[in-house]
Amino acid sequence: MRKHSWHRLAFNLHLLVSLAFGLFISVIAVTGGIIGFEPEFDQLLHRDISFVKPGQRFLTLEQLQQAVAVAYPEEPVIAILPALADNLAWQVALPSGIAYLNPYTGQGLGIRTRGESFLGKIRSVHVGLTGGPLGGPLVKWSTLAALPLLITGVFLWWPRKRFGLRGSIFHRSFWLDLHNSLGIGAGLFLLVLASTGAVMAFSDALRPYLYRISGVSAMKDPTYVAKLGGPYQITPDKALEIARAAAPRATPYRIQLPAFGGTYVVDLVDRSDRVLGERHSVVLDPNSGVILLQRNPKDVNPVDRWMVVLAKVHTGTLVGTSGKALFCVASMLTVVVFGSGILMMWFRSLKHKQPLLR
Amino acid sequence: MFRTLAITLTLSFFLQSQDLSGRWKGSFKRRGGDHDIPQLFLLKQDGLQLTGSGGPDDSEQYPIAKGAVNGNKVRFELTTARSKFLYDLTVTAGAGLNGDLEIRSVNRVDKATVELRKEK
Repeated sequence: MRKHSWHRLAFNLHLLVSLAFGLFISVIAVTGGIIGFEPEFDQLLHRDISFVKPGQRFLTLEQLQQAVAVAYPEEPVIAILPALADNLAWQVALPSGIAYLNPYTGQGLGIRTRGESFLGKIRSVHVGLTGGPLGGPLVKWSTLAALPLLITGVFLWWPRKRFGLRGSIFHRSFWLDLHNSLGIGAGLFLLVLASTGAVMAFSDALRPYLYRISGVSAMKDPTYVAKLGGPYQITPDKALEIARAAAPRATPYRIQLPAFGGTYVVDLVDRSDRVLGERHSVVLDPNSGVILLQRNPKDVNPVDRWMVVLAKVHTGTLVGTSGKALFCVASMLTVVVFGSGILMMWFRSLKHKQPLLR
Repeated sequence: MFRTLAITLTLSFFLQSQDLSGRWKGSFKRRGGDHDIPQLFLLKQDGLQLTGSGGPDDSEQYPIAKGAVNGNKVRFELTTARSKFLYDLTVTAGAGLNGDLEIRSVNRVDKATVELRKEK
C-alpha cells in the first residue's frame, strides 16, 4: 500500500472511531480524572468529621468501643478502621452507617449513612455510563476503541510533527493545531490509561486464559468454619497485638469484630510496598487467638499481581500524587481534544464543503 | 379457568407452607459485572420472622437483620465492614430463592441479582 493510502486509512479510522466512541471516551476520561482524587475530594467534602488534631497517644480499641457505646448507644460495632495519617479521624462501621471518631479522645464527630453520593455517581458513570445493560459493555468497548484512536492520531501527526498554535479560533488551522498539540502532549498518558483500562475492563474474561497460559490457579478458599455468637475470649486489642506480631512491617487499617463475620479479620498495609502492600490479612479465632489464615502479598499469583500493577498504574497510585495529577490533567484534556476534533470536522464539511471521509 | 385457579391456589399454598429454614447456596452478580460471587445462608424461619446468618461461605458469616417473610416474598439485610446488603427475594417453586440485592457502601450503591437454592 502506498504512503498516502496508509495515511487515508488512518484518517478515516481515526474519524469513524472518534464519531462512534469519542463522546463516551470523553465522559469516561473526565469522570476518571475526578475519581482519581476521590479520597482527597471525599475528605474535603466531609472535612468537619474527617480531620482531628493529633494527640499524644491513641485510645485502645476497647476504649474506642466504649466511646462508640456512649455516642451511638444500641449500635453494635462491626469494624474499626484506623486512619493511616495522624490527623485523620478513625472510622467505625456500625449497622446504621460509618461513625467518625477522634482516636485520641473518643469524641464522636459524626456519622455517614451508606448510599450514593455525587462522587459515587461519578464513579458509576466511569464504570457504567448511564447504567442499564448497555452501560458496562459500552465502557469496555469505548476504552478499547481509545487505543486505535490514539495510535492513528500519532500516525497522522508524525509526518509534520506540528506543535503550537497558529491563526485565530475562526480558522480550522487553530483547531487542528490545538487538537494536534494537546493530543500529542497528553497522548502518552492517555495511551497508558486506555491500555491499562482496557485490560481492567476485560479482566474477568482474560483472567481464566491468563491462569491457563501461566499455569497458576486462583487463591484457595479457607478451610475453617466461622461461628457467630459470643462472648469471645480474645479482646480486640489482643487480636490486634497478635496480628501485628504476625505482620510486623504492616500497619492495621481495618479490624473486623467477630460478632460480624465470626472471626477477627485484621487487614494491614505495608506502606513500603506500593503494589501489594495492602494485601496483608490475618484471620483469628476469637476464642483461642489462633491464626486461622494469613494472607501475604507473596501469596498473590503472578497473574493477579500484574492485574494489581495495571490497576495501580491506571489509578496513578503507583506513582503517587504527582502521577495522579498528571493523569487527571491528561484525562481532562480529552474533552478539548474531542471538541477540537469536532470543530475541525465542522470546518471541513460545512464551511469548506469537503467530504467527511477521505 | 378452573384449572388456572387450581394451579394458582396449589402454588400459593406450596409457597406459603414452605419452611425456609436450612442451608441456601448460590451466588449474586452485580449489574454490569462479569462474574458470580458465592453466597451461603443459614436461615431460620419462625413464622413471619427470618433470622440466621449469611456470607460468601462457611468461613465468613454475618448475622441477618430485619428478616421478614410475607407470602412468597422474603426480605432481610446484613452488614459487613464495607457494605450493607439488602435482599429482596421471592420464593420460587423447586426450592429456589431469587431476586434483587442492593449493596450500599459509603458513596455508592450497586444493584445485583441473586439466585439461591436450598441444600437437601
